[in-house]
Amino acid sequence: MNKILPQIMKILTYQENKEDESFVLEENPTEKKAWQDSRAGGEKDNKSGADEEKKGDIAEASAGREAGEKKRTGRRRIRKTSPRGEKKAAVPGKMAQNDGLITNDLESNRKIIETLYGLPVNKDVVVREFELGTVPGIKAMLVFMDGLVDKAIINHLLQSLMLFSGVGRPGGRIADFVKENLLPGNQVQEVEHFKDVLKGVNSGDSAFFFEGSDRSLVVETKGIEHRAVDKPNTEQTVRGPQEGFGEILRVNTALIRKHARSGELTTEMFTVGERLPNDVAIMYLRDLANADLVKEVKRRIKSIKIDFMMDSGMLEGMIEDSPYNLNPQTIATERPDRVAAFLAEGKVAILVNGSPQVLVVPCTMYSQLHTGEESYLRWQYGTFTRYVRLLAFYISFLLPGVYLSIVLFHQEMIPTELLLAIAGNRERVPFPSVVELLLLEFSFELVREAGVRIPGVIGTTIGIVGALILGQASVQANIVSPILVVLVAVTGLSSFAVPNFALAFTLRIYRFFYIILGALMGFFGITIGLFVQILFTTNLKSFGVPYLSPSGPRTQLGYDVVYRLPLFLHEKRPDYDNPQDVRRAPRISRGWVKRGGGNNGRSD
Amino acid sequence: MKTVKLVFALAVIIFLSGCWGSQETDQTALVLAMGFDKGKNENVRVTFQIANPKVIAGAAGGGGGGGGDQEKPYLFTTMDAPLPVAAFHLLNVVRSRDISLLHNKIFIFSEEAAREGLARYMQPLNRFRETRGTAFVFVCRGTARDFMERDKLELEVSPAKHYEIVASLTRLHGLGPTAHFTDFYESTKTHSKEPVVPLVGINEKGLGAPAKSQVDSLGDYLAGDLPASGVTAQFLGTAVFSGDKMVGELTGDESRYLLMLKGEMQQSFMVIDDPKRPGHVIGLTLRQARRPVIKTSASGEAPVIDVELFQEPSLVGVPSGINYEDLKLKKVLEKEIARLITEKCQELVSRSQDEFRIDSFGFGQYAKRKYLTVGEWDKYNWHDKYPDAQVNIKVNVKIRRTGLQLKTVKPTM
Repeated sequence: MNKILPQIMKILTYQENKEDESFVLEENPTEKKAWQDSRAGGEKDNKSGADEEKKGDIAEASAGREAGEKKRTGRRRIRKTSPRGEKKAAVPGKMAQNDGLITNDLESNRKIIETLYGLPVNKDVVVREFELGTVPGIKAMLVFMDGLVDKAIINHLLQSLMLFSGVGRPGGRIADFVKENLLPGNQVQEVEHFKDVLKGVNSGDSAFFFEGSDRSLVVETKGIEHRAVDKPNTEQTVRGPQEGFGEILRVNTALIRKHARSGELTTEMFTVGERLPNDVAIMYLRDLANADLVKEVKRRIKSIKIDFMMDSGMLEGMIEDSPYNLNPQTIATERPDRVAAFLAEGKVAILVNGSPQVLVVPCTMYSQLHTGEESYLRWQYGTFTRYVRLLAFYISFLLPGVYLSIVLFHQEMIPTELLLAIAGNRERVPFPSVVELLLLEFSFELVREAGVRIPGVIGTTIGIVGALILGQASVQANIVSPILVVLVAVTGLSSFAVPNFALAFTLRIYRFFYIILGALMGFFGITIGLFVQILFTTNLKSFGVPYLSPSGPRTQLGYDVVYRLPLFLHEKRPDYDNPQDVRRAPRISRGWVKRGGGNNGRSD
Repeated sequence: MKTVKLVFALAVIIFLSGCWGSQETDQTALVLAMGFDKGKNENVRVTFQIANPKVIAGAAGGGGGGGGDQEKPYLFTTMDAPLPVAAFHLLNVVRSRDISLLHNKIFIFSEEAAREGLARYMQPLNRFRETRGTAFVFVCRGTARDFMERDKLELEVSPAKHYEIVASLTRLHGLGPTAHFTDFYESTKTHSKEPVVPLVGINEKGLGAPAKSQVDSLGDYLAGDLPASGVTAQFLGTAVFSGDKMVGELTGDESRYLLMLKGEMQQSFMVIDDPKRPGHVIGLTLRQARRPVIKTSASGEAPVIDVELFQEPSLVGVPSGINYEDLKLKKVLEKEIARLITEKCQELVSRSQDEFRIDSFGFGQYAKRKYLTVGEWDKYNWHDKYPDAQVNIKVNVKIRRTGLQLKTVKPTM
């Protein structure tokens, strides 16, 4: 009996064929030798332009070759242990000869730089040679990336080095002397590895090399063109700050710091991405955020091995606890004030350079139903909007399913007149209710998707097409009944009223499950669906915090979860974040209220 | 593996439960009202009033090409069958759709059928899954089929809504009870109260029907006898049942006192003779101040029942011009109203004891409380004891409101 279930499973499920090799083009020994020869040759005359392309091919080929060597371990392992990520992809070649250290010789440094950047084929990098204005003059070289730097600053730096440096040169190291006396840059870093030089230059800094010095000075000269700080596009509010994050990491950290002015606010930087490294920053309040939480966030980010990291959405996919669960497990927000408020609760913010969305962890489902605006509104209005949103939350995934189960299974539950109205409008519709509903839902999803993708110039078309086709023509053509149009419209509106884009997306997908369950099994099916969904959701954790807290595992509820009571009652920080200091405000937070006056409004 | 198991379990649930219980609205015919008459050969003659949703939703009018006649929002089908549920199943032979009783809100029994006993109609319906327990029950003078076909819905489109509203209007006029199917069925079975059902009928004579005298006869009619314009349905009076058999009829006025004693009268209009100037009438709106206090001593041969009623009338019309707003005169009026209500209630109680010999008021339910077990109560045999019971009625009347007028001033001549 015990054997039967596994046997059935074996029949029903997909079994990986371990014998079968996926296609790997193996090299024979002669090919291998030819490849090695070509690699050596390529390094010799690296200036020939064709080699630049070849280099990319080489990396690919080497990945393939090593994969081929590991072929016995099966296909899946090959994919996972692909060595591409482990290679020092950015600094290959000659640098390996002397551990990538900067040499004393300016000319050889120049050669290395040319090799590293593929000069002169690569036109972005500018190498400027000049002589310091000291007595005697020193040969020097400036390397920077055209377009990433602020040209005015570069000119100013050159001016100071070449013209305003007419002083005698004392002994000691040149780099130190220049750094201390000649170079008026505000952030100057002395480095000895080419690796660091490249890192700086690639992000818009300028590197100075000097004859006879094995150090390079990397000066901050960033001047990348970027979008100005603008209104948040996806999280608009009526009340409260109207600034949103941009694409530049440093601007974003500054925006947060603008709202959270504290020495305890700490920003730590990481580099993620092997081939195209990108900066990732985490921000937290040192004296508030739980140390273990910070450690865990750092551990997860540091361990990521990925080709490139373009957006915080990619990072989210790499650090979330349960990638296979539908629910979003981090809060992505565009608004600095909201991030600052989260930091003040003891949460950790994660910023990715180039991404206007900042991730906040840990998150709960309740915080995804908040916008932050409720705190700026008076508490009655805030509470009201939250209840509206709560209703929208349920409607957005349950309404179509419930409609189907009532119409198909539980007709006695609705008023006779309503049923007659539904029935009468459906008389001429040729489809079963499920098909009708799915048709309309699908068209609505189409309008939604098309609305996002459509070029702005013809954007108004979507409204006309959507409204006319969905709203009117389909009813007149007796394809759908008018009541259903109303229903789908209400569902759509509700899904837009859910403030978190990711959560709204989740609910959109859940909705289709409930449509199927409702059509097949009525309320019984909906109940099963709800039960399973609750199990999945309760089981979820975001950085160790249960997803449904403070109600999932019931902890201290506080005054700011479903409803929002007056601000002076928010005396404690969320218990589930486990901050170092739970108390947010003293028991009497409005000092001007006379004691015993009875209008403090508190119940305890 | 875990996911596979889960998917497997879900698939099992879906495939084993299936969607066979589902019913598309365009494959269902909704019965809104059912009428029961005696049929030929001891059969039951059942009339179904079936909704035509096309018309009710207003979808029919424009598009239909050709159909010249005005379609009605409902259709009738009548058939003879041994049982009501059998008729329901036979209906599938006649009508194109799956018949559903889920929204059947009205059961109308003809007086003839009711006098023979309703058990054979009610019992199968009570067992049937689709019957709505909250459906309204009416007894109709004449045949049910005739009544349903001649009852013109002028304000309503759907008959279900029409009957529902009519049945609930008793809270405004108090001239007839309401009866729900389950309540009615239960009270045909218990010993402690007997069912009462609203009476309906068609007014055949229009305004030509004989009118009663002016004083104290506001609703002294049975359904169908009230002089009113047009051949219309009237919902007035009460059919009194003993078990499942109808034994008598109460007029509208008597129904008011019945409801008063049952504590179910919410509002009723009443006309009395002016105590100070006989020959003139006074119009009152009665309201129940609180539920009646009923005390019983049901141990001896003749049970004693003390009923205390609390009424708060307000003055509506005083054509005699006497200043009844005056505190002293108000007392006089209150006393007169109390006397009249006591007298009428006594009359009704003695009618129930002597003529019908049943307890339609539910006094038995109060008496039952004195017994610890149902066995003892059954042994006491309330049904036989009630006709000998001594019923004392006390009526408290307090006029709280005199309408919008605080004082009646005598006209200066």
